[in-house]
Amino acid sequence: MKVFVGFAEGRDASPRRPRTAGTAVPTLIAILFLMTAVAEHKPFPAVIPETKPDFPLSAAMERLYDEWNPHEDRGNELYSNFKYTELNGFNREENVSRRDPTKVVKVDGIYHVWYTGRRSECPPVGLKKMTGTKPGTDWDLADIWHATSTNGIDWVEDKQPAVRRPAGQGNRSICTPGILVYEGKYYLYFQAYNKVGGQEYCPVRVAYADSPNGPWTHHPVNAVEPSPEGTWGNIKINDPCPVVHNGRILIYYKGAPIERGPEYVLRMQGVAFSKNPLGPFEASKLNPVINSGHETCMFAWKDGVAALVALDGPEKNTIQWSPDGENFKVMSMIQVPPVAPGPYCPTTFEGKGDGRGFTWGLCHINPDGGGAANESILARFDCDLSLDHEIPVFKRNNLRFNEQTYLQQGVRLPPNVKKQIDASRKRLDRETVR
Amino acid sequence: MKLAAICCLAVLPIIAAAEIFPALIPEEKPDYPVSAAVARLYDQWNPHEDRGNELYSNFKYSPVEGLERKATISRRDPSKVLLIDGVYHVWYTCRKTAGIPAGKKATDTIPSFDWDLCDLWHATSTDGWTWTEDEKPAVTRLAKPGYGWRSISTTDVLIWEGKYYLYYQGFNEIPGLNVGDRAAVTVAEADSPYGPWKPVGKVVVDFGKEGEWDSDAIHDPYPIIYNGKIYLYYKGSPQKGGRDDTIVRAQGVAIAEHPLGPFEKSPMNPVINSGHETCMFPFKDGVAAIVSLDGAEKNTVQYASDGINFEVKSLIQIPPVAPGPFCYDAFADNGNGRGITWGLCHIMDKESGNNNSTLARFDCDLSLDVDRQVFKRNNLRFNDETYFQKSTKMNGWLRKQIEGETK
Repeated sequence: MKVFVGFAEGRDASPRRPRTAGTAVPTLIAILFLMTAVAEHKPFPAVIPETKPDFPLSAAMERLYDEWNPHEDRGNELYSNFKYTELNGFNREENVSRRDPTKVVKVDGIYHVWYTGRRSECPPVGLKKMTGTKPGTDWDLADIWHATSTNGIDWVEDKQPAVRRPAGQGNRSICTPGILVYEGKYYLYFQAYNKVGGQEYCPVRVAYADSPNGPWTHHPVNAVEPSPEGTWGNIKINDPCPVVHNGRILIYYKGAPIERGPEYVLRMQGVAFSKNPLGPFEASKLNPVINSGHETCMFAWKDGVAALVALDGPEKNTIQWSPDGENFKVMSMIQVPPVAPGPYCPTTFEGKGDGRGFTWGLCHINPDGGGAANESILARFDCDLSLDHEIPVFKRNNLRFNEQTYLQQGVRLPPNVKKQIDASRKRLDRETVR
Repeated sequence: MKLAAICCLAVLPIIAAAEIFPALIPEEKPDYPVSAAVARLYDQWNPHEDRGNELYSNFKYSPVEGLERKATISRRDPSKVLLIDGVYHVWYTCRKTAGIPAGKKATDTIPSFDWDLCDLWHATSTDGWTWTEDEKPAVTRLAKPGYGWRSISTTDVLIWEGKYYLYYQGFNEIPGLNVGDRAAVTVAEADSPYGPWKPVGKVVVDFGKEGEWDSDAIHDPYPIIYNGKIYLYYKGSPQKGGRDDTIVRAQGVAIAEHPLGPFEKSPMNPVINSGHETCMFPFKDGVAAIVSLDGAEKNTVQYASDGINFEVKSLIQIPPVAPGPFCYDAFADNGNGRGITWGLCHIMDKESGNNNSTLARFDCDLSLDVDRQVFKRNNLRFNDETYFQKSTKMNGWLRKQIEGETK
């Protein structure tokens, strides 16, 4: 910020500073230079300059041009807010959970979606009390279910799961599917657990079909395996999310190590490549490629890959973009994003280098705000992350919440923390220095 | 030969393993190729992300006890909280009107907006949870045509050489009826937090000239003492709502050596490109800011080592609206700002039609003096009512527009 210092001197000091007649020429030149700077400076205008002004700017205004764009969110194709709609056709029933929808695909005028479905004898009982028939978590004892719709709001669920747990890896639960449409065939990638738990082995398996209506065949070989011992994703490969890019199939996923603790990677996202949808998939040497986010949500955008990164990590609640699928940059900051979003985004499977984005999709909500211990519901989100639409209301960013939002469990101050705060009040709350 | 083979065997796995990012997060940026995301973890954030970030926090909320709630009463935009002789003090915009906000149908007694026909009120507390409001406003609007005759709002407090100063917005017309929220900043002074307050009756931070970014609003004055001077941060706007490619709102700073001015605006303004309300606090030898709601850098905590050039330090969720932190060293100017752990904020009712606000308390850990891991968590989940409330639920007209477009 040398420019600022020079400028401030020019404005505040030099016109008033007494100068003798014998002032050295360099000083005069310096004064003239500084005075020119004074003459040029104007307060930042109300009409936002399209290009970065050449007068001194604060770091914040520099970023508006260097990192964002002068018209911030409203001029940003990769910014949107999200509006939510309850769906029809998925009845809320006890002990029935639907979560982690795939991307929505449209085939012969019908929308299709797959998701984790659990129908069990009781609600999740926790990892310590689970049995052969009592689920430990919301995604335990699950299969992959399928539903169809003609309008994206009214859905009809199949009577049976689309893909059932296989006899081999995944015999306890299969969940969190991602759909790929490739050369006329359909591929569902999903997590495959023999035992559900915090740090249990979880590779990604794949099933394939000639039609979105099935029947689905399990491929015998795991599609994506955890990374080697000691590395960042060594126990769980979650949330497979396929994208076709540059003649390859990219499977993005969330990885986590078996090691736990603040000094270890908690979760990050990586990518693996293959030319064949059944694999083998080779992990990127640059993994992890996303440092934040709880669920994967990648989609083709222009000639690269974009990602909606929600929850978790320093770059929580951002939309990112990468020209090569591996080096992502933050493009916008979003609020109350969909959890585990599955957008309707057909160009993601076209691989033409002309991704158009999306305007809606399905996501899940855990009605009590928790994560693992209850029935989740599917919901629809609408947004404007599309190059083909312009819906200004989605570019608004001043999102306000009602009192219930602040005082719901998880956001309200819990009594035990209040106790701690009260106990340290005398130490922390010092008299205002005056 | 044998030794060499053993060496190779010993070295190979290390090289091979070093190519894949380890589970144990390296303290230093690895020297092998990493993705842009991993590079940022070291260059912009820190390897242990939010849990290793002094300027990250989530926020937990509590209702404020002791203040009467009524459809025609509104309390919003709390000042910083002070602790003076064992008593917490806060000042805020308060409206006790004959009716609820009526927009263009506003009258002499019916407000247009929530912040119309307001005065500045004062409440005290001994524990920070339960508050007692004074029976009368701390600062009452001057009679017309005194500055701010229509409404005074959005105050914040300064102590300078033992005297107390409340800076606030003064409205000289009904907000929203003509050119939006046209208000600049004036000040009242007192010898004690209990008053009596004497409004100076003139502007101390005025609008920018026509065509400048802050030509029609100097809002949300927020003073701290920094580098021996009064740094009064404010939100400025040309008040055109972004029309004609104008800036919607940004934050600047005006600097003075005396509370009554003259305040000189920084030539670097605006210094914050986002955010709806100002909230700054001394942090180490610089100034930190909670930037919420608006703009490209909405919902961030930022830091400027010089009080002027702010950098994004963390991304936050559901931040307090219009926060007034308890910040005992806001006026200490000792180059050792300790941060904040709680404060008051407001929550606005935009659903029932009352259009009023209530004060709430937030707790957090943006402090160098405490380490509360629960506030470093970032996987914040919401219940279904959050997604289906008015501001986030899809509405009928928008649904129609979308259906019209997708056909």
